Amino acid sequence: MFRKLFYLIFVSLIIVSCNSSNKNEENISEDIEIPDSIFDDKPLIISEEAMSDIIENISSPVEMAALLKETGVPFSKKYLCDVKRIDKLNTNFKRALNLGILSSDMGYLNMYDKTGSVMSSMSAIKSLTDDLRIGQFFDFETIKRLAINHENLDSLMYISVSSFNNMDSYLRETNRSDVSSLIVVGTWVEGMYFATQVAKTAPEGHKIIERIGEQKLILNDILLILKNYQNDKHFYDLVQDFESIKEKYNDVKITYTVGDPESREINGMLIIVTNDESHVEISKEQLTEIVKIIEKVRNKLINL
Amino acid sequence: MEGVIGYIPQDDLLIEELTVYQNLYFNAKLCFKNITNEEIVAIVDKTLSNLGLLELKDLKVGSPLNKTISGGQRKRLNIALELIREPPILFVDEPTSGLSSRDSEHVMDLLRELALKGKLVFVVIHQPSSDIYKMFDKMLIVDTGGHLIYNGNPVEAVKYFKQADAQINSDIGECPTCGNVNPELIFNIIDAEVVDEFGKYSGKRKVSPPEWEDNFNKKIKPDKHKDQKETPPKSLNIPNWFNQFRIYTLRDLFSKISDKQYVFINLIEAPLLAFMLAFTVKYISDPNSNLYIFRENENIPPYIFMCIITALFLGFMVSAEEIFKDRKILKREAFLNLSRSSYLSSKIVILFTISAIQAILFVIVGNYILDIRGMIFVYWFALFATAAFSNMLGLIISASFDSAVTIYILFPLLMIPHMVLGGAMFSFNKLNKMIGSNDKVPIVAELITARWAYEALTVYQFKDNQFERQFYNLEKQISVSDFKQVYYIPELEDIVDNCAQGIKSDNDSIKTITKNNFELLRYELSREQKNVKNIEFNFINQLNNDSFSDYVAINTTDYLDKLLAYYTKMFSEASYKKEKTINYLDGIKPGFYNKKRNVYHNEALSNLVKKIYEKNKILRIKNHLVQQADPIYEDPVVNGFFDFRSHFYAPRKHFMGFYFDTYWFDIAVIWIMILLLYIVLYYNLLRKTLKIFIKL
Repeated sequence: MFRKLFYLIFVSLIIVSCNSSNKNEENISEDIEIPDSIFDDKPLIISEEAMSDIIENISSPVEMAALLKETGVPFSKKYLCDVKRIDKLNTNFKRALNLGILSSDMGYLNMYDKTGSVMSSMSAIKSLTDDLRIGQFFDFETIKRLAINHENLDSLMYISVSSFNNMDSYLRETNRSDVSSLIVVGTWVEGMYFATQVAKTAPEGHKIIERIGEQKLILNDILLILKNYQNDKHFYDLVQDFESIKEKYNDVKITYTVGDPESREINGMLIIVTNDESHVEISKEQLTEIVKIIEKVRNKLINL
Repeated sequence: MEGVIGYIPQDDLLIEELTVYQNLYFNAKLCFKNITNEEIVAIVDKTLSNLGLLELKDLKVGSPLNKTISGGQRKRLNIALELIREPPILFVDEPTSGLSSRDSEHVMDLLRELALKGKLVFVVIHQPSSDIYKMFDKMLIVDTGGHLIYNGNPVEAVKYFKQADAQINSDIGECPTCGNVNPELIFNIIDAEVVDEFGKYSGKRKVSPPEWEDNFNKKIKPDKHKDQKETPPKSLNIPNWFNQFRIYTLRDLFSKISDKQYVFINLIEAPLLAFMLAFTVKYISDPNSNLYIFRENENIPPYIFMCIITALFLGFMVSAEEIFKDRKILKREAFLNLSRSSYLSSKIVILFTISAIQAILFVIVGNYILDIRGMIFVYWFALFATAAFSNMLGLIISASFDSAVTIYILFPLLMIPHMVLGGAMFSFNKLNKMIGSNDKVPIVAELITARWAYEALTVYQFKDNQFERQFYNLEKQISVSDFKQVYYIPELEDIVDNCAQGIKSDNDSIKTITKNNFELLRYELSREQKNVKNIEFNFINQLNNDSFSDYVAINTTDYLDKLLAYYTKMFSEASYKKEKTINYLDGIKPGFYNKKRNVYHNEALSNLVKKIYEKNKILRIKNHLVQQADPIYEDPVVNGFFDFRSHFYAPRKHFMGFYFDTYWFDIAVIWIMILLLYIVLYYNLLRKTLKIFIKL
């Protein structure tokens, strides 16, 4: 109705338009001065060694999702992060974190054969990787393979890990390890989120609870990496969040029994298998606390 | 002989939308230079009253179909137009056809007066009454085939022909009692037919035209006159160029304004189209929301293109018949030797004004509905230039063809190329190999106005809006350095490796490939030397089949590594700065950045000018590496001082060593095209070319 009214009085708009467009709400057309002082901090310089260790130890999203499926807990859409949110991500920090989160989501969808929903995740991931200028590692073909091909778990894991490794070494060469760190962090947090939500209703003593407990080791590594970048305010906040998570893990005990190595023949090749066993002690209360804190941190991250 | 001859044609050449008075008034103004307005008015009034038109002076002339004044009155006005300036030599074609005998006498009296004043008046007349016949001093009869069979006194002619026909009363010209002369007699004698043996007319003339001519030449010897050396006096004192221009403009303006339908449709058409277009494409992506977000409207790029096409159409339609419908008047005014350029200029000024008004109405409505902020002048100027181009095209067409229908048949031929080659509907790199091109805009498309206007608007809308302005330069650095380090330099490194292998081979085809590779390296590395001036490379001249060695290879690779480091640094610095800026803005005004982006930045347009869907980010074309990704951030590749060609969506254009902002450069090109069209129009080149073609 408003528009039809407008049509009838187009002449008066000639006069109105001369007053230019400065009547917008909140003066959106205003340009804000950017003081040069904000550029005075040095760009982040990091040490690369810690990174490769972490990558190997943090489970790829695919692995985590496979484990979840094993628990028998049905698929639930409410665990997923809203894809439309990516429009609001305006810095590389937010984008990298959310890329990790979305990768975990995609692994989860893939595991439960929800290929339809995978598509919107794919375009969101493509958009994020383009903005982060790492699009060359995530061409649609690769993502499609990752998303749709779920027969061979091993090859899927291989693809996802090798893509990530390629990307990570590129980022390291160009002094952008912070991006890979954040992707890893995002993946981990979302993966933990799935795991802890599922663990709420999983049968007692299920392997997944053990896995949750094992993450205590990974946490230390993550904190090591993040502390590298503490000078930046956003990383500092993230470090604080992870410290709070670590706190809840203080009483979780992990014991190792070192077993004898054994040689076995698999597929005509001689393989040496180490029979180390790790035993995780984690009480129900501790688990509840961990579930709560992970929920809190994850929700904070997706609302950045 | 300028301005000496006057001509009153048989058909009336009047301006139908003006009144009787106005027709005469403007005509008078065009003939007399140094006369004041009051004097002109006086002359006009006198002429009108002489021809009995004074009571009708404020009536619109109208068309023969839509009559306001009678046929006889039209004829008298026709005569008045020429009579008013009293030319020394006047040719009149059938002034009395269709007039009452009273009116005929009036007209002939005026002509006679002219003759008595010393002017020479030639009249073609049919069935003159006896009185009129006797008014003439001399009569010429020209028979079929151009034979002059009589030249002399009209009344004597009757006697001459009667004698030739051996009639009884051949010494009587006019009736001794009543003075009546019967001119019909003469024609009866001239083409009398042979009667056959049955008494019927056989259809064959008794005396043929050459026989009449012979007869005349024998019987009557014309008087010899001395050859005159003096030029006849001029009755014409035409006003200067500027005054002519003024008069033409006023005349055209009055004639347009008097047609209320025309004015209304012209004014309403543009905003109506804008409303239809903008309202239809106002897309809200969230099905559950009624809030329109500019950023999410995927229809903005096609909307921009439709604006341009609309401007082209409107511009052409307004001007298509302009000169065509004036053709009668131009015929008459040909004898006045008025300036063609002032006539054309007046047309152009009026049409451009109409285009400007239509463009502003269109832009105001369209941009308001689609919430395109802060771009009113930019869109207006681009659409105005496009419509102006179309105006010129329409004027040329209207001046070159003989029927209105032909003009409209041409319309699709002129407009469809703009749609096809405008760059919006079909990508330039996905066309027929003979037309399309991967590195620069195809040459054919450089002739298409729509392509210039579309590029101008899309580039400006993306790059110079209130939001992007702050970040464009940083983003450009990020894009350039990312492209170099991810695609360009790795490709060059591969090629260097290939060369190192290739020169070791004796195979001819490998040698050719290597030669080409070297050419590529020389070209690209010299470009890089100009781009990055502080890293030196001294082995350019050794990049060929003969001088290449492992030493050169190592140095080349080293150079590439240095370049890589340079671009890596550039990337991280620009990326860091951008990140910091956004964090800062988010810090002091949370949500401001996102809100501003929603208002000024359009996602679909951004994807278009960054060509994000293009699979190949870099292509090797012959011996160049051509960037395909992020065209909006890529400066044009310059191949010469005068080279102004570039890829589509380039942010700047190069010409003669300077870089110009794309919007202004593109619009300037459109104005240059308009200028060239003016030259075509002035010299009527299209009509002349067509004549040559038709002769062939």
